[in-house]
Amino acid sequence: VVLATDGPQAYAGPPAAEDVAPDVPMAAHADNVASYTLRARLDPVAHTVHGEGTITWRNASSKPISELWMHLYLNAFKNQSSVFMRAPIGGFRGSQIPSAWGSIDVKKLVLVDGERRESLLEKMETRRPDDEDETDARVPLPREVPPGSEITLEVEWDDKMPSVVERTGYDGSFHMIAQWFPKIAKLERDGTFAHFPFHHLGEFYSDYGKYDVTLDVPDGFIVGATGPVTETKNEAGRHIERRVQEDIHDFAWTAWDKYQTRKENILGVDVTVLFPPGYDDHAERELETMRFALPHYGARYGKYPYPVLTVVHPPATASEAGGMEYPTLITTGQPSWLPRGLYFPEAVTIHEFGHQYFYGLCASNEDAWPFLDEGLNQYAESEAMTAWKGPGSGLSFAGLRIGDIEAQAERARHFGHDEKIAQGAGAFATGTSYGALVYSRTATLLETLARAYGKPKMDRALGVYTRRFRFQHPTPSDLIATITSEIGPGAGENLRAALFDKGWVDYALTQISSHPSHGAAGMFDRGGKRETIAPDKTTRPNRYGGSVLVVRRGTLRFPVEIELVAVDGSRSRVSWDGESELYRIPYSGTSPLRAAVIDPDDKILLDERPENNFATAPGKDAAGAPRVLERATFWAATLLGGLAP
Amino acid sequence: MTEPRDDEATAATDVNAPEKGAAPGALEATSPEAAAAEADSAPAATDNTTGALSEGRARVRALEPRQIRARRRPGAVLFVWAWELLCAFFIATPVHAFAKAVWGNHPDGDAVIFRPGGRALLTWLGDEGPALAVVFRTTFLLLVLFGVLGQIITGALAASLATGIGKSGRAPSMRFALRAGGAAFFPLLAVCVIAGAFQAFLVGVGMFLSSSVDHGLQASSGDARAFTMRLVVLAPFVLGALLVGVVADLARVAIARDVALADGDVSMARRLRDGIVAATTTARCAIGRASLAWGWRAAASLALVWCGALAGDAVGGRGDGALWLLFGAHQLIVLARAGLRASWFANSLRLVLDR
Repeated sequence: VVLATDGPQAYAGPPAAEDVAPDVPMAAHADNVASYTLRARLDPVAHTVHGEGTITWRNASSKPISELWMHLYLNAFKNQSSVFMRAPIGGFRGSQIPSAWGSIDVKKLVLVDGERRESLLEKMETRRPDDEDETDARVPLPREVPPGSEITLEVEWDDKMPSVVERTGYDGSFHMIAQWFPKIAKLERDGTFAHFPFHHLGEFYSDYGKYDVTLDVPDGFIVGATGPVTETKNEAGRHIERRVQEDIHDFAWTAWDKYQTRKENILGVDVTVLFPPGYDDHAERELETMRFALPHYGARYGKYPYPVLTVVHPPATASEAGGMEYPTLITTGQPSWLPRGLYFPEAVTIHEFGHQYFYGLCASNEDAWPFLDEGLNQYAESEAMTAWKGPGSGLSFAGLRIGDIEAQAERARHFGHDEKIAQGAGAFATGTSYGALVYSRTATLLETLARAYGKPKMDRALGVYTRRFRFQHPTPSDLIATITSEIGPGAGENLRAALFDKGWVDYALTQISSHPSHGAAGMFDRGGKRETIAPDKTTRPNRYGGSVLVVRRGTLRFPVEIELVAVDGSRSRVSWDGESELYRIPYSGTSPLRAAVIDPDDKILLDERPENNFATAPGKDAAGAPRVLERATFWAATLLGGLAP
Repeated sequence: MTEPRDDEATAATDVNAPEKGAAPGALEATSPEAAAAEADSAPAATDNTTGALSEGRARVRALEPRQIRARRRPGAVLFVWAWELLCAFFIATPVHAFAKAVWGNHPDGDAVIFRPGGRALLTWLGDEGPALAVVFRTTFLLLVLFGVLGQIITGALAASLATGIGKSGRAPSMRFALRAGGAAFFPLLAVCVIAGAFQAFLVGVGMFLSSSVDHGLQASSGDARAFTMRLVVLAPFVLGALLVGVVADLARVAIARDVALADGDVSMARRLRDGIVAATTTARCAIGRASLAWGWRAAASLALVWCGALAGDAVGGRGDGALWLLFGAHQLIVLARAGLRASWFANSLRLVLDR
């Protein structure tokens, strides 16, 4: 037995980013409730895993517990009667039927009480009446477990891995092994279990614990897994390594005999990149991403607390295994030929790393409130990509610079009225609306708050949230309360309305007028005399007037600016708190009013129709679209002539 | 393409069909000296054809290979550029109208579309109304329409390059060239369709084979190397498609020259067949030279397009002077590419005549 010491290359990292909430204390460790000591043996030919071990579980609620709920999520791929398979969901990952079914069969489940051992297997219910789903098992206990008491379970099981489908499975000798062991559902404070079948759009929710897992694979296979290696050995043609990590709530691993490896120590974290042959450039890009992300996220959301991070780039044929997060292990993706400038590998890597915070450290219920992890994390991704790559943070290629957050805003724009964001994963009608609302609209909402109320405030608010709820299980109320306290009640109410009430907003400039300035005409009694002023005598030389009418449609109220542009090119801005539904802005100046635009800096990304935010005064020259005409003419001529002579 | 002066109207002789027994499409060139001598002795050319083209034929003659140079036809190159600019303007109109309708009243106009981050651009392209589909379809149809009509211009360019007036081989009139292009329209269109179909077939087969190789190698070599092999397998097919394009250009110029110079009622099918035979015969003799001649011009043309894209990127959303400068630069590029095309056609004509 030797300690694993690969001596990764050290990287000092960029200059330390400024901590956004240094005054907010963070928990050093989680309250470890469910701990697993497991041993797993992979047969890469049969694609099976035999597992055994013990589970130590404590009743962390305030009530005695008489039953356990265990998640057997690999059974989601057992047949087409599972909740996962029968969900009529399109437009999201994992929609294909696996070519090889997967399952988990529990062979032993024994309650250990000193010398006494009682099998629980016989009474375990894996199905409900009239439901063949076997992913959510109820285990009656022979006696109640009082609050604060601990029990130990001995468990043995066999996994049959599916062909790779939604985050787990095999492709040839490649194995991504996730949701692979019997896992006790999260026990809430009130004594209820947050248990649920594995839904197509749903993810996970678990108690923290210590994971001590020994993995046994054939010699020649390279393993990536949650937690640091504490022991390795090779015997009888097998490679065995032990991984131990506290303060986590899941464990995933991968084994493949073709993995290439890059290692680097970044700010004290041993980062390992596992990638297929020919993906050296991607591995470098993923390391570059982590060199940026570790200090950036550390400053914003608190220091990454684990000693290791493994980045797994699955082969393209197993892309369904990519783009997923587990504690200290993330999977990325994208094809090998993708040129630099298309920042998809960077975005996926930084997104999955962000989940170490929004899922890993702030372990919200992903099934009940998916926006709390995916939405916040999507915002964090966009924020980080913008900080790193600038305005072209989504792609910067062939002269086109598209921002990550702008792409999210456009995706979100079309779904705001369909469903609310704050609902369970299983409640969404389609995978498309789930993606657009949970990921994109939440990110757009947070970005709008940041732009409307100030980015430093938003940085601090999320910094406070992630520090305050580190190693906790925050809820939407916790998020709204933090935003309200750190940014203000207006921001908190906008957040609540947008999340729970399908809140929306559309600012529109509905009227604009511009004319020479006039005094009042008519009859006036002044100084005891009646004076009549004709309309043509009221014109004030070199003075022009006008007005702009702005309306706010929808239920969200953001402060905005309105920019007034005069014929001579001069510009002035007027602020509006956005509370009322109408706002008329008078204009007076030495040059006629030519045009006006609401939100000239594009702060309100949630605005449903940016194309009605401006107008040109009647009779004034519109700016038109000469740039489009020029570009379109050039490219049309180019196409017409053929690209070659 | 300049109008001939009256005093030169009869200074050239007619060079018509190939001699009996000559290879199909192999048009005989008359030397300038011989033509001039013949012109001196013949007060007027015998015209046994009808219409303006035949009238033009009475004045033009075939140029010798060494006389066929793009630089001798600046008017033709300018005409091609003007045609492309005009067509491009029409093709650009729907998208311009759409942009103007959506963003034209913004104080900054369509400059917002060019802002980094691309919010306005995405909003515009993400429009859920029917306008975008109408704009795209109309643009596509206009592109196809002008592409088809462009066969006339292709024929006119080749005819202008291949023929000349008088001893010096001065450019024939624009009317003559255009009529020649019009007369060659259907065979040229047929070449376009046949070559396009053949190219699509080649690329399709290449894609099928390369895809099979890719899938076959993924398990053993990994997807990255399999993808590299996919490109390696696909490359000869793409190269083959490009060579088909080169041969098609040889056929185009042969047909256009044939139509411009030959008289009598020759069927379109015959012209097409003769052109293809001339092109394939030339390709058998000089495919290397033809490919090289096309290749460097193609590379230069692509480089110009890339420069145009970079210039557009550099200017971004700026307007006024910068936009006018960009317009000038872009049109210079279009003009230069028209020149390269004329140069390639001239080279093709020489190769066809030299075979």
